[in-house]
Amino acid sequence: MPNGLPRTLDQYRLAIRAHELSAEEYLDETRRLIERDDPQVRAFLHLRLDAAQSDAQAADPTSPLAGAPIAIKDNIMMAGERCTCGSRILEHYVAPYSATVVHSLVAGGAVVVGKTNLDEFAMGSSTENSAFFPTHNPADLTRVPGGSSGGSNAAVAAGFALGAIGSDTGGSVRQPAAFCGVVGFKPTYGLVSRYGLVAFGSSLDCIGPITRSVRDAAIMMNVMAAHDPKDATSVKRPHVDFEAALQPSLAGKRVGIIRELQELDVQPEIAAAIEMAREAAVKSGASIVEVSLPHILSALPAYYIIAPAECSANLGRFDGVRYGLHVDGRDMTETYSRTRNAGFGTEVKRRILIGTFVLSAGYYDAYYKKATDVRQLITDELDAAMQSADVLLTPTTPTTAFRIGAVTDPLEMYKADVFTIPANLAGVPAVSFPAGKDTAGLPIGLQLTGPRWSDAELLSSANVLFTALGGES
Amino acid sequence: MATIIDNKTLQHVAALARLEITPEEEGPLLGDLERILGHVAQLSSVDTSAIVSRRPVMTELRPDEPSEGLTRAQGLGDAPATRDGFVVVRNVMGGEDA
Repeated sequence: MPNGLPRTLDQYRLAIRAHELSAEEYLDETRRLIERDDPQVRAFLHLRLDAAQSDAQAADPTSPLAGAPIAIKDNIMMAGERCTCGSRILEHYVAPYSATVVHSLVAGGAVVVGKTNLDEFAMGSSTENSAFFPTHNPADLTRVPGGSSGGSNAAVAAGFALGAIGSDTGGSVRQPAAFCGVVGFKPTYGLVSRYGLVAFGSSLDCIGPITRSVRDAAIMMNVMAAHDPKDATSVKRPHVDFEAALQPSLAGKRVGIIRELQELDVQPEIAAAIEMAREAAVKSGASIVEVSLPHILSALPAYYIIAPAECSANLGRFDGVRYGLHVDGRDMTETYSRTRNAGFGTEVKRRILIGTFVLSAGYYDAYYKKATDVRQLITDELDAAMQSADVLLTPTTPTTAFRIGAVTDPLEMYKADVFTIPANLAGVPAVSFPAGKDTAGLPIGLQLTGPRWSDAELLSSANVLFTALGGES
Repeated sequence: MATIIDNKTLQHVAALARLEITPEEEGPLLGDLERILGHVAQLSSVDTSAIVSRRPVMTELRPDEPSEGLTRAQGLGDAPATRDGFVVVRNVMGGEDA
């Protein structure tokens, strides 16, 4: 953004309310940036800038988001817009209704600028699995933005939107946030409606905001968090003002360090950032406690059984009959398999096959049942650890953004999610926030994880550390 | 570790999943699945004998009553083939299509 223009949603809203700026003027600037830089970054699968212009004209300056440009991951539906999930099988699919969260954002004054790129059906950690094109990291165009919400995170990092939403099944909001140098928040499972999100792993999927500051994430959560009768997993909770809950210090908070994760190999600059965050926490009045999660390293293998199992069931709906690609065969069965073969990419097929295998007769108990038991074990251990710590501090990722094309082994790619997966298995909230850069100038992300329903307190703690490490309040 | 998945199992699983595996895909897929399943098989050494898996906490379901939803036209809007307000499919019981 050129000097003088708001960099955050919070600054934007203040400028709008002070009549220093209009939503249309800001959108014009955003449009200029998108037209100049998105041909290189490629964050968007489809733009709706003309529609956004009329939305901005009509935007209510007193609404919570005041006409701010917002980007939507292309596995979340907006009525009348395409929703491809980054897949050939939905290349021409037009959403017949809007996700509840899109309704809420638009009602809250969001101006949707476009739908963002993702790994096909949110399966991946680099956005290279998009059937259409890879997205590039705005911090270094030769690098991946992370994934699967790579487009949404790149859009916010590049200034194409003041906020975005993504889905997080195993880290898909937080891992790319770390790679792109923005804030990514996965709320408690059940806090934000998933109605209108194309399901991948139903017991894991959460929708969360992606922003340039932690305060902005709180501002978006104020609009996004609500009970939704259309989502059976949505939970009725007392109203929380996420922004008002932001506290200036960590006085009295216990910041937990997980013993078993100390053994993991992380890039030295990320280990140094953890040290800085620890010091900042202590300076702000927190105490550091060590906690033990004996089975945390089993989270990754458990996830790569449970998530494919759920995906193999959820993706059964893509059959070429009711919507999406259709490739004719001699009979119904051949029509199904021809359609699915032509429509799904390699990683999606791999995961459907693994999921079908672990759920099939003779393997169910050894794989799927075992994984759900291990999931329960990890959840119990996390819940116990949260008795002695208010938040857990970890890196978000073992490394900073890798080069496009550098990781070709699927198993190596899965390991990018080692720190983010436990929160999905346990359904607890976790946030990634920027904490400096490595020697190559690439953003570093740190993660705080909290107990279920501590979302507002968690964002408050993250805000203290984020601002102490140089982020915008 | 013994082979977890061979080409016969792969073709069986692919048939269950309504996917076709071409001969060119089979080799690389077998290699990937073998390694991924080998990796996740480490869970077998975790003692879970004392674990009681709990169902996720669910809210009560909404009453099962008709309410505003998609119109028929909206519901059929993305279908590859429709006739007289219905989706057209191949004859599922075999024989010639109607």
